[in-house]
Amino acid sequence: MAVQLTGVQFSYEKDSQRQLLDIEQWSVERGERILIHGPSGAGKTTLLNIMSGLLACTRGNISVLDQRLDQMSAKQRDQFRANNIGCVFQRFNLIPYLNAMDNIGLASTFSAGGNAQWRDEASALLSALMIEESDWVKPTSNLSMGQQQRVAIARALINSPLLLIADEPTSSLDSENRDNFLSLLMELIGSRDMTLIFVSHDMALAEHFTRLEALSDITQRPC
Amino acid sequence: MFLKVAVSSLLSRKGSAVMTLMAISVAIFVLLGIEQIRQQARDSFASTVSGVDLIVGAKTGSLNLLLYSVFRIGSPTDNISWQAYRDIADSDDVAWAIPISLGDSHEGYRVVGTTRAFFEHFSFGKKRRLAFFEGEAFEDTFDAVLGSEVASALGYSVGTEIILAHGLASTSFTKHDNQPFVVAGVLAPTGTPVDQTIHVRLEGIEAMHAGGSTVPIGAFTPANAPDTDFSEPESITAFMLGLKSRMSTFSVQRQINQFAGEPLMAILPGVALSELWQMMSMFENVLRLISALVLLAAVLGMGAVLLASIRERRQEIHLLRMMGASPFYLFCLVEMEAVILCLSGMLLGGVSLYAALFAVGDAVFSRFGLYLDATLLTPEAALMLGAVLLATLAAAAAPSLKMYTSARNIT
Repeated sequence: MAVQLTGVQFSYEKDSQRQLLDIEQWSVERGERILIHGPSGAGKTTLLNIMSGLLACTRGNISVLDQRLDQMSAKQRDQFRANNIGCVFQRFNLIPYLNAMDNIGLASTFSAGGNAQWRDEASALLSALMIEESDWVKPTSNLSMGQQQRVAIARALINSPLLLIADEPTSSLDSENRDNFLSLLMELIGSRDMTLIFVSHDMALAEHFTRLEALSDITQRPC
Repeated sequence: MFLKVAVSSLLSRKGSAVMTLMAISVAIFVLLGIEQIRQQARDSFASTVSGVDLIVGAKTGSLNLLLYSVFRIGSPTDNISWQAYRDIADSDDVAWAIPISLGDSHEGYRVVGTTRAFFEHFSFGKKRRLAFFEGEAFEDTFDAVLGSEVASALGYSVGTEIILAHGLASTSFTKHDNQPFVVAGVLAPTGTPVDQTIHVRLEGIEAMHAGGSTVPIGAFTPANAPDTDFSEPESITAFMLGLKSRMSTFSVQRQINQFAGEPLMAILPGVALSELWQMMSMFENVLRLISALVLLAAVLGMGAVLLASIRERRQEIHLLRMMGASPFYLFCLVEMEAVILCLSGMLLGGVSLYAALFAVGDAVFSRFGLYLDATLLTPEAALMLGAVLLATLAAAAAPSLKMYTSARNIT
């Protein structure tokens, strides 16, 4: 099981009766590619932050890759995330003052034990993502949005995570770049046997995924 | 990689980083510069006179005796009879004696009547003897030997004739203009009051006051022993003693203090010098306080600049957290940026101080008698830099904590 949520509740205010998320039971099989859609403000990003261990849920059991996140300390969750989960966001995926190569290198330092071969792997990833070699050492602010999002995939995959979380990564791309991004992403994920949880409001992407979920179906929100 | 991130992060905010760096450099410059001057002032002060075991004068305060005999500041309370000087100088324990007679001046510079023993025995610094820049010690009655500053300030050299005046003002009405002195030698710079002194023979002063007629010029040949064979003055102002054995210092001092003929006192110059320096420790502490405050201002400024930057870094924090960075990592990142600023500031400040000392070293030496050597990293300075680093870490704790809490509370 890639992700399993049981009786998970979350709210930003403590002791609040109104839960932003209230999930009785939801799970993701390994190798699934899930598209979660829903209106903005519904808690999609919050759900991703809980699954990545960045936020601790108020109540309930969370297993990611068969490990209990809710029983880990904050420090353990950080380490777990660095080792096992890759993340791509809508924007600001790269540290602006580091170049593409260094962004990937930085990500590799957070995984347990580091990765001595990260340069070779980063080069392979960047080549596979069709980033020209001259752009590898340019300040990332000089790269186009499409390039930045593709470098972000390389950055997210450098530690060979088993789960990739993507939060509207195509929303700031034009249609050409979006298709390019998605096909490259799916190719890499397929070859690595990874699980993908992808949040978007764009239903047109549905064809790329094995499963479609509305956030409102996952969580029961009191109306 | 951590270091690279911190450096790149600072470089991405070049403007504020450079301004902060400048502030810290200036503060380090001031801190080390003041420390350097303070230390050198103390050292050159303490080494104003060395090798002299006792200074003897009429009964007065020990500081007063030190001030007028060594620093030519203030006035002697009373004179010592020549007979008393001879009695003590000839006693068994005494190896050599340098008589000193004060009271005349030239263009505001003090004139000291003494003997050749002065050039043979007086030393300063780490037992450094007086050296001649040009010419040699006085031989004739009306020869004069100038301190280096006197010569350079007044533009005198060997052969120049000078008129001495009674009293100290350069506009003194009583000028001994019937009897000019001739410059026989100029001393090399010492960084002590010797530089501001005109040295003449005791008998020159006597002869001058007598009207210049009692002693014919050229009556003394180099073969003459320095302390003998001239018309003896009635009195002198003070004298310095070198003893055969340092062990007898205190017994000789006691003998002099209990001298039967007239009220005399003997002081140990080292002790008196450190007493005098103690009185100036207030001044030292004020200097240190000022440099500490300048530094505090710079470090706080850095804290403020870093704190302001945290607000612009919210997305960066979120990204780093998602990549797996712990809040502690982000805390350390900000502290690291502060440390980098601090260390670069130390380097820049130190190097500019070094360059400044190199550039003005000679000028300071000749003007203030301060010898600024270029060894900046004394143990004390190293200790101070360590304290600066701690202050930096403390001042950066505020922005670092802010970073930490923002990293903890991702929304």
